[in-house]
Amino acid sequence: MGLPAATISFRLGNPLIAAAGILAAVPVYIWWLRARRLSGRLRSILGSPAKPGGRALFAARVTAIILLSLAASNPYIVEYRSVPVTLSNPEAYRGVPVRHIIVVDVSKSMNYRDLGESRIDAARSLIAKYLRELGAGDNVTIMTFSSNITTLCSGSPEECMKALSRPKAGEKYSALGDALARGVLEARVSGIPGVVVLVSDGGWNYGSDPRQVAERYRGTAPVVLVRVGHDPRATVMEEAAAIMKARLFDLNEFSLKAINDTVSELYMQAKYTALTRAGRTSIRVAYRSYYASSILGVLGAFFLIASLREGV
Amino acid sequence: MARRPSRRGMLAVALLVALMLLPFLWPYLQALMPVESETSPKPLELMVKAVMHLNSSDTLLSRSVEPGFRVPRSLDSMSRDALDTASQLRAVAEKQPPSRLGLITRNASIAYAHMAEASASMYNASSTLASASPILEEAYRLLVKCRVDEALSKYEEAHGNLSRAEGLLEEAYGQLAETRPQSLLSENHTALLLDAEDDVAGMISAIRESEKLFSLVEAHRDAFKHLCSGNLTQSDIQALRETLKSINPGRAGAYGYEEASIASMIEDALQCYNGSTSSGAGQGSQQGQGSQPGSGGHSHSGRPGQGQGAGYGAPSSDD
Repeated sequence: MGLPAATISFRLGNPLIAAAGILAAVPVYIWWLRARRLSGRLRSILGSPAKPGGRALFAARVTAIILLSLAASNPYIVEYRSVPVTLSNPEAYRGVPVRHIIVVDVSKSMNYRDLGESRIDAARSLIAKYLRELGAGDNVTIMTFSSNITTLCSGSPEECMKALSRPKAGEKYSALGDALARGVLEARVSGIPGVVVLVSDGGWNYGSDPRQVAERYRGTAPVVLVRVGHDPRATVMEEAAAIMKARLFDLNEFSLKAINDTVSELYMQAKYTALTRAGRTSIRVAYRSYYASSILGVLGAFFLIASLREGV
Repeated sequence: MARRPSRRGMLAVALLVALMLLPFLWPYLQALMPVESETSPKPLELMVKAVMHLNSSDTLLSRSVEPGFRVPRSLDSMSRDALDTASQLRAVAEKQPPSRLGLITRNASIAYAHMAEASASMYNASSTLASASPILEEAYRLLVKCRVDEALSKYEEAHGNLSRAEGLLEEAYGQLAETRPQSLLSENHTALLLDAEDDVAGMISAIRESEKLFSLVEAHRDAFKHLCSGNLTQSDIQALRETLKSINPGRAGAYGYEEASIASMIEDALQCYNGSTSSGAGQGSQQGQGSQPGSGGHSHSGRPGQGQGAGYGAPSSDD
């Protein structure tokens, strides 16, 4: 299916200037009409022939005044073009609001320190940076899970940033499959495109099998997975990611060194996933161009000069 | 009797036309005005312009390695304007009298001239990097998939532009390093200078990091080819160990995650070779099959067939 056609609209940067220009021309024109009436009367007294092309000249002058006034009011053309949503043009859709449902594992194994720091600390710094990447239109829900799932915060990235210090790992069990199902459900019921960012060490030992949950959402769930550390049980995340056709990121000692780029890639992937899985294959982007001012000015000058051929 | 147009009237209309045309002809008229005149930009205006150039060139430089970045059409003229600003600032510096105020203005003008010159190099580097970056990104992606020959050929495509960008960034860094922060007129300008220095240094190190990695890949082509298949020989292991020691994803900037993925693959391969259990293949799936869901009232999903409830079966551990 092709992209929708571009649409164009014309706008004025300073509409007051246009209005003032046209209004200012009214008294000048009244004065000119009086002069013209007087010259007509004189012409009839003296028996001179009538001046030809009066209406054309009038139209030319009115057009000139309107065009010059519009030219002076900083006009621009807004062209709305449809841009395809791809991973290679994230800037185009950065401003499109998305709901980010971040689901973080707080089970005991998240306290393991196989990354130089604990897995939960690594996850927390990743999420803090992720929240800083989000745009003003984005909103966030952070949930934690162990054997239960708890909503930590829901709102703007700034609001959730404050709540980020609260999650402490150390709770019993890790219901990875249930957390995944709950996240997808949340993403689906949100009014805007949503994405689940599931952050876990993959130490699933409780609840639904993540692979079965993934199977239910095969290829359709808006999910990005982040595997933290080197838990030997974490292959289950790889399998779930493969089934859902979701991207799996690794947060290990190497990607922690490049945390800024890791988060930047994660953010782009999450936004892309949210939009494409919501069926948004293209978005409309506004482009402004200001060449209308010059064109209107030149046209206005042409009409003005044309209207002077009979003198004043 | 023939009618004659009034001269005064004609003049009035001509003036009116000129006045109405002025707003949109003004930018063109401004461009025609001579630069060196009594009304030429004052030192403060030039300094603000230099700061503006540093700000926008730094932003462009950071964005030039992002996917989908398009080089602005005005980049060449911005670069020329930055150089023009620098030369005007140097002229201002030369004209200063040997007074205390003159000395302050002279030092500030020189500092801001360095900034403007650095900006010109940064603009040019952004443009060069923008054309090299997608190719380099693709080379990294191919390398992660162990498609070594293709990755190296992609890297060769980008190499020329990367070297040019590196040279330009070194020039920019040199100019920024010569800028004396104490000669700048605002703390905000100092902060901007330090940020730009960090960004330029970061970009240089990212380019060098990619050069280092790909030269190691070229030197140990077979080892990287065997990385995905797992058929590693003793010499492959040595080569990969050397590579792992040499690379640092933290210095790879916008390619950090890709380099981290490569480092991670090497680490896993080395651990496998050493008989370590770090990859733990198979363990996860065994565990998964061992705790099939039972029945019960766990309410997170509430959908049939998912296996809900607390009767999941005894987990092997509670972590």
